[in-house]
This record gives sequence, structure tokens and C-alpha cells, in this order.
Amino acid sequence: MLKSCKTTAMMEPAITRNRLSKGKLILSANRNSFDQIALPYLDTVYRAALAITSRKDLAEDLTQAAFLKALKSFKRFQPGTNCKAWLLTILRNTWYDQLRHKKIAGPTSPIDELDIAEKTPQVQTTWTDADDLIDNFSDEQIIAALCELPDDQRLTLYLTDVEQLTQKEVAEITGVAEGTVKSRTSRARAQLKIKLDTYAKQMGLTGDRK
Amino acid sequence: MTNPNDGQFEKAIAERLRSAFNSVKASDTLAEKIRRQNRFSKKLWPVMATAAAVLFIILPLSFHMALISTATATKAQLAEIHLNNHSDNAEFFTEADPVKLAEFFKEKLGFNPILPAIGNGIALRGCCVAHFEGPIVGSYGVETPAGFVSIVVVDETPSAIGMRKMVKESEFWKASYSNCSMVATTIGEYTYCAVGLISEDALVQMLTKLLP
Repeated sequence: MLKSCKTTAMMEPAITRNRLSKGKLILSANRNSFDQIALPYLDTVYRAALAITSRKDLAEDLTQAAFLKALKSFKRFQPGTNCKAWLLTILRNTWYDQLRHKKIAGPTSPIDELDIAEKTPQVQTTWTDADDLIDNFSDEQIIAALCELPDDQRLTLYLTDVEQLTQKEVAEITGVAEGTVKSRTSRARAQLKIKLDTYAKQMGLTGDRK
Repeated sequence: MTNPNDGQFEKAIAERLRSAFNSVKASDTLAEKIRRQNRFSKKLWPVMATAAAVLFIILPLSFHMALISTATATKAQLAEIHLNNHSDNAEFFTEADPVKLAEFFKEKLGFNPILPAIGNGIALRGCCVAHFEGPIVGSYGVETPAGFVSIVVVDETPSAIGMRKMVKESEFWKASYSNCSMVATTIGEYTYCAVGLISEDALVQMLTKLLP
């Protein structure tokens, strides 16, 4: 039995009914709407998955699982709403499901087996040249330092600083109150500062500076 | 007490995190896996798996046709050819060079189907021969800006394979099977069927590139 082509008003992006100049009526189907709406966020979701899992192979698995879940629940997605936030919420929930299934606290493996600095006691460092100092770290070191943070801080800081989401959006994705987002972000930054300070010392970039 | 440099650090680390992650991209392999799983969703796969199992085991084709109507069977076969073109099919001759594809078709079919001009988002992915309504037919895969398309070249008329005209006086015919859209047009003595999980409009545009 043939399926009839339907014209459906979709908002993101618009899939419309067009008339060609020669009088042909072509109805645009919405079969590919998931690919058009959600797939452009693949890199965004993958980056978040990498921040969550710390490993490229786990990030790929998590991303694939999240997109499969998103595809299955795409009918519930409201066109015109924040697709990025919707996908990131699914990613986070998928990750939690995996953790519950595996009954582990959370992955802590470093990316590409990068040698990560061991935990050190808190050291007060005045980041007077924060821009210059941070530029000395490689992308891998920056990402690895983020991935060393506790799970909740890591995801919160990632969503806040990398994806530049609002506290409200981060709260909705992570399922916590906005106040919790604020405190987690603050703690995450403090922890990150300590880790980078240790890296800096190891690299001979700084000692205790004032 | 807030360190006056905390704000500077926060700004610097946020920018550095963004620049670090900016270089992180999903691999092409991952993208392709997701596109594939999106296309062959839970709804389509069991049907396709069943159609593939019937086509490729040693059973009389008439036994397969007895189970479903002729029109549905032809569309299922077209969809199944498209599925196989886009999966790890050992029979698929992966090649982007139109000259080599032409040699393949000449050897297998005895003629050269019309191939689209490559470039501007159009790329050939390979070809194969498959059983369609008994005889062997040729099909090739094309990557288009809208997605992957299989062109199946048959010597049946569009109406004979269960398609109906898109509009009156149109030179294009259409059908669908599960999530696959199909558009066909007759060029010379053959019918070129474009099959894909993309819009009919995009399939028409693909076939238009084959028209003289």
C-alpha cells in the first residue's frame, strides 16, 4: 500500500509545499526531518560526550546511543524549540542510564592516555597572566584537565563555558536547580585552576606567583 | 574574599575550553554510523531483513511473489537494493570513477546506464547488479547533497513496477516503501528508479541530471 506524501508544517528548518513554474506540484516529505534538524548537532553532542566520558571510543558509543534515542523520541520533539538542549538532555540521560547499567561512579580515564598530573594539595596561585598562561597548554591538556573533574562539575562547566548555555538551560539539561548549577560551576573552575596550576608547575611555567 | 584575578581566569579558561573543544569533531565513521542507524530504523529493518533473506536464499522467486502483491514486491525489491547498496554488501563494487563503473556495467549487463555528471555535491559511490523481477538489473549509488541515492536501471515501465505519475503529464513517477521514497523516469529503453531516504523533490532533481 502506497504511503501518501504529506505536507507537514515544520519549523526547523521549514519544509514547505512548492509549486514549480511548469505547473508541477511537488510535495516535500518530512521523512528526512530528523537528519535535517538533529544531525547538524552531531559535533556538539560528540564534544559533550567526550567531556562526559573522557575517552573517544566511549564518546562515540554514547553519541550513537543518544542519537538513536533521539530518533525514537523525535515525535515528541517540538519543532522550533531548542534542539541542541533537547539532544544534550538525551545525551546526559543516556549517560546516566549507562552508568546505572554498569553500576560505576563514572569514567575517569584520560584522553589518549595523556599523562595527567596527580592530585596535589591546594596551592594559591595568582593568575595575573591567565591568558598567556593558559595558552601554553595544549588542547589535549585543557580537555584532560576538564575530564579530571568530578562528573557533575565536568558536565556543568562544559555546558556553561563551552556551549555557553544559560544557567537555566544547564539546570534543565542536568536536572538540578539553577543554584546548584552556579555552585557546581564555581567549584569546577576552582578545581580546574588547581589542576592547571599543577600542570604549569610541571611544565616550568610558573612557581608561586603574586 | 574574591580574588580580583578570578574573573580574568574565568574568562580565560572559558575561552580556552571553547578553543580546545573547537578542534574536536565527530569522525566521518561516527557520522556515517549514525546516518545509517537513522535510516534503517527499528521500523524498517525487520522488513528489510526479511526481504533480503528471501531474495538471497535459494527459493523460487514465484514463492516470494505469492506472499505479497506484485506491486508491493517490486517496491520492496527496489528498497532492498537501496539497502544493500548502502550497507556492507560484498557484491557492491565500490568505485567513484565513472569510467570504471561503465566497464563494470558493460561486463555485467552488456550496456552502460546513464551516469550523472560528478561534482557540485554529486559523487558516485559504486555499483552492483541485483535481481529484480527475475532478470539482473544494474544499480549504482550516488552521494547527493540531500543524501545517498540508489539509481536502479530496469527495463520495466514505471507503471509496471507499481508507480504512479507524480502529476498529470509529468515525466516522473513515484512510489514509496516503508521509509524509502522512489521516483522513476524513462530514458530511452530503460526506466531509471531513484531510491532513497530523502524527499521526492531531491530524487526528481537527481533524475533530472540524467535527462538528455
